[in-house]
Amino acid sequence: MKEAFNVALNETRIIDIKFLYGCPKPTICLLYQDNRNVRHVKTWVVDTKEKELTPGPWSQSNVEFGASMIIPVPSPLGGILLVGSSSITYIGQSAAGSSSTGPAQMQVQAVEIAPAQVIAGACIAEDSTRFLVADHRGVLSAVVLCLGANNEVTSLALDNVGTTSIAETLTYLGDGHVYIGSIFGDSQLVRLHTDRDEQGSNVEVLATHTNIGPIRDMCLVDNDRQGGQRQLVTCSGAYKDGSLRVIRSGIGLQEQASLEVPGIKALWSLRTHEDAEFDKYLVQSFVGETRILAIENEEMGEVSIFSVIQSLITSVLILLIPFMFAD
Amino acid sequence: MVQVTARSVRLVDCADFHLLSEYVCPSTITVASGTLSQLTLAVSGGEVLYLELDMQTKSFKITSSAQLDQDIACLSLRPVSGAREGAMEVEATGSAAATARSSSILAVAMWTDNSVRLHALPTLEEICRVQLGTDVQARDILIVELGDKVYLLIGLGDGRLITYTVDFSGDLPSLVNRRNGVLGTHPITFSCFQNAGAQCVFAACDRPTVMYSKNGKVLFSVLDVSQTEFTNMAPFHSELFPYCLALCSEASLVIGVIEDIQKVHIQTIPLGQAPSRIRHSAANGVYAGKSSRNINLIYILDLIFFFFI
Repeated sequence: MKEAFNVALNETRIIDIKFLYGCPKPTICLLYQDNRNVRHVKTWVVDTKEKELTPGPWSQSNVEFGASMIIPVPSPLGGILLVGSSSITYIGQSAAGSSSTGPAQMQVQAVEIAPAQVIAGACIAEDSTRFLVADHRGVLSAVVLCLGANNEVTSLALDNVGTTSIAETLTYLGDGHVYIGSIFGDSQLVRLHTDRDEQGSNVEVLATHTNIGPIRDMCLVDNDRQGGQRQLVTCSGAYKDGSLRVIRSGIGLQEQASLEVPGIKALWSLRTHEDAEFDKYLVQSFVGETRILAIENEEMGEVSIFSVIQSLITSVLILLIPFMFAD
Repeated sequence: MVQVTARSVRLVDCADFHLLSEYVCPSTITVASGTLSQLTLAVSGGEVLYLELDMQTKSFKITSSAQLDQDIACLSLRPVSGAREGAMEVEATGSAAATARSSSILAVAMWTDNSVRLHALPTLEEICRVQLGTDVQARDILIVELGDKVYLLIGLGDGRLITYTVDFSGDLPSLVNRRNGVLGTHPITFSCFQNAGAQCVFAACDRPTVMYSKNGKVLFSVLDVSQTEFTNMAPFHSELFPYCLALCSEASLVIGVIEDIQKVHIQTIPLGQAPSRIRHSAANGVYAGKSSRNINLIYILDLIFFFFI
């Protein structure tokens, strides 16, 4: 890499700019709006020796007014997907014909979409025929490029994939995994399946990363009932991802088992001998009696201890020391 | 195992639960504390008995006794490093392992004048005493080593906590560096457990807290659980429930795994639209929120359950 240089562009209101794939020299593609509020797409070749731009291989005038995003299509197809608010258009050039002097053919194919503002898009197939787009409602759709005989794009198809958090960015990680980065809700790692589940969605959420922003309001609560533990309740998120978040700081306890046993005064654990790896008994002392729970064969149940210790059961335990002899 | 009941001390074999020996006390035993080879009993009337385990005969014998001026609220003994082992009389037949796990001091909290005293073991001579200066009695007391310092924790009946550092640097141990704190409003009970190799103390009250040491300082972490009061705890590492703690409350027994210390917990209540304002009314225990989409809609939410009225 040598030093950076500036080039001036004639177009002023640029909406999106991307590099194209599969061009011999670095080529950029611009989506811009002219003085009459009409949008156009133009390509420019970056000449690094002369440090200037030369007109690129193709351009497309008068594209949809709601056109907002360019998704470059990887090789070997090349070209771009122009995403607008009412249609998604494929614009590209077919490979030159056998005659080297013949003009390259422009291919323009479009598919209509429901009115939506598409925020993010990504290519999700090796052969660059499938793309994923996410709109402002959190709806994920797949755009499929149908190819004809000479690897030319004959038509586009749109398929509803599912709903996720409102995506700000989509990243395809391979093997059907997509990461959805969201600013209005929780970011998600999802997996795309070919089959639909009961709700008709092809999307399976694998992991969620909590995002408590944007926070519009919050209040700090001192819970006197809970002995002074404070919590923060925030108004988080936006649009369909809006939520209330209750935030506390402390140690969590993952409950494994819970029994309704009223009146336990004290607890001790015991093991059968010093080198035993695990505790075996849980001794509970009540007013007037003592009970023992033991782990036996994958289950925990009450044990009745015979012999002299029978009297133990009816007396109050003040202290228990688990105790093992060295021999 | 050693079992102490109101009338007697029993030594029981853990494998088959048969009684090995029993010491019957002439009067009522109120509180007790012990290690693997030592046992101290507090008897009603203010008498303290110190017993040691005889490994050969597998029985207890009374080594010393002392009559204190008041009833005893609670007591604690614990082997800690830094304590003088020389003060201990070691039985001729005691094994080396027993010595290392012996305590040389006994902490006693009194019932009437709210003082805490340190006594030497085995002589039961008083080493020092401090006045708690409160009008509530101590309900539990614990000597514990957190980090590399030895602390004396005193839990009061109104949920307050007083900690002292036990200083072994002089000839006799002393209590220094008093710290006061509030944990909750109900009496505190202490239990020790190990978490990730470090010694921790669980203080059970209406705001259960875990105390642990980090970089020489004692830190407190409140337990974040839906059930807010626990009265007692025992570490319970079993086949079915590895690395668990068993906690009991007034009405239930819970066995669970404690997470790594101190995390931020976020509970999400999805609304489907963006909330823009929220206020809490402590008197009524409700939250009121306003959502941006329906300006006239106000959500009233219950404190604990968060449902929409």
